Amino acid sequence: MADNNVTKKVLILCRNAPYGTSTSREAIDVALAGAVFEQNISILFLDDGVYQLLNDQQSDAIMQKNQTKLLDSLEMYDIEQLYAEYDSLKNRGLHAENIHSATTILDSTETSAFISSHQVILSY
Amino acid sequence: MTLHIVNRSPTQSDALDSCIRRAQPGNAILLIEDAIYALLILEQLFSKYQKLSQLEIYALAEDVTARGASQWCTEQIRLVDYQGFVALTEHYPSSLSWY
Repeated sequence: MADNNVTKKVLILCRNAPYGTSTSREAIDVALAGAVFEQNISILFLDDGVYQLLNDQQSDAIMQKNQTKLLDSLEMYDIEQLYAEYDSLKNRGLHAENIHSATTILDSTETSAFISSHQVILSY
Repeated sequence: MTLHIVNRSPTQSDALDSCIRRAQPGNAILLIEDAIYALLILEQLFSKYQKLSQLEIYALAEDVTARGASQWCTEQIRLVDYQGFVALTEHYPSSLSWY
């Protein structure tokens, strides 16, 4: 049973594109591990991290796990909302319809407040 | 209240810019390792980001000394040693690394 003393609001911050490095997969691994241990996990995509949210990724072409499928798997662990910063999307020519449907888009003020609202922040 | 820890050179990486854009007034930024080189362009940074004057800016003294950057430590910068680094992480409820 979850104990309030050990359950924390944990933010996983993703700032790197998928596939080029293993960073994006590590972030998901940590999110899943945290969820298994009943932590309150949020995932925020900033900067190049928003590329992880792109629809139509077909990573079998490079023999890597599909990032979209990894993100989809989070729902089974009660991580139902993903968050992305509006400016990061805009600077990369992306719109809401280009990215994962479970994403909540935050403006820059909301992003700062969102980051500060977590007790533990892990950066990937 | 968050302590933002940056360790990349501002001329080589966007870590510091990314950090400043997302920091909230009252937050602190601690420059360590190659982020120390931000001290050399501090005036530019202050004119680019008005928000900077509302943030506490710290630099790790050992890294400043090692890189010969002491002369750029203006009064806007608070120097901390390794113990001060630990004290900052205790003081701020959360820490966030930008790299």
